[in-house]
Amino acid sequence: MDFEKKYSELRRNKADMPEAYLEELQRKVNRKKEYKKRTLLPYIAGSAVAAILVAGLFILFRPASDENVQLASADGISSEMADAYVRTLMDNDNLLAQANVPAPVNAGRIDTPGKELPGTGPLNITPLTTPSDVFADSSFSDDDFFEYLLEEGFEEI
Amino acid sequence: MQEKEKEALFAGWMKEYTPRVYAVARRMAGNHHDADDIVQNVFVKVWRNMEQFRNESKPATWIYRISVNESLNYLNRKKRFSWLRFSDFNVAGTTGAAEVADEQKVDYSQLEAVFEKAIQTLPEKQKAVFVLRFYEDKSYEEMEEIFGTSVGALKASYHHAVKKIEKFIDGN
Repeated sequence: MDFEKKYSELRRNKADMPEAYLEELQRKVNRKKEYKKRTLLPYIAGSAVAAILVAGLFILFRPASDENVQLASADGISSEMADAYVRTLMDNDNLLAQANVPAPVNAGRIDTPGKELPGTGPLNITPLTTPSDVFADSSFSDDDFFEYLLEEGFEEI
Repeated sequence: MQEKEKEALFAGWMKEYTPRVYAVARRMAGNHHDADDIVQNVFVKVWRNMEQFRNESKPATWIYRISVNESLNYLNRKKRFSWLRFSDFNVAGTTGAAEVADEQKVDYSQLEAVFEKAIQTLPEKQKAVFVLRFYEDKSYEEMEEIFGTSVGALKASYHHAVKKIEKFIDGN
């Protein structure tokens, strides 16, 4: 049977609109039809300008940070005082570097049994050799060197 | 066109074509709420483009074309944003008296309900072709003007829609 004939009953149902719908629709459409087509561009531009203004105000009126206080107080320091301060820092760095030089292997250990501690005053151990001296020492073999590295915590590659 | 003339013409068109536009939208969307949105959009578009309408085609054809395009766009938008699940929100004021009356009035028989479901399974454009042909009795020539698609393609589309609906009804 033809599809349209078979379902002719259903065909008559025209999905009628509800009663009083036309009046309701007219009200809704009248409200909507006067709206201008809106674009997001003015909102985006407005937000960007507002963000720039807020950022500008923040930069102008932000509270002074510690860094700024230090910079401000440094204004009263003469260049000679600053140079002296830098030299002190550099000297401290040199002292630190010296103190960090590893103890030489062949200088002996202070807790080795049978060795006497020198003097009775405060113990002041100074390295007898610098690392460059270690390499210059002919009695310091490659095996000794690797042993030294392992002792110092270097891992074998 | 003067503002008063335009207003009068628009009011006349609304009165004359709202039942048909609503029927198409209702068949396409499957519920009153979405159909109402579609109909509103259609008439807002009609109002905004009335100056561009030249009497080359009938106002009915032009309004049907807007209705079909708006229905397809609306359903595509809805599908795209389906993850938001708008239907879960019952926003105050969206359930109007008209909708309640409508839901009460339509007493679908079982076959009608299955038929309605079958229509909703069709691809959107095929659904639009089926609705205009089956319910609105549009000729293929008229539909050619509405869809901008050849008669042959429309016939094929309708044929596929019928086959799918028959298959769906047989399976239920």
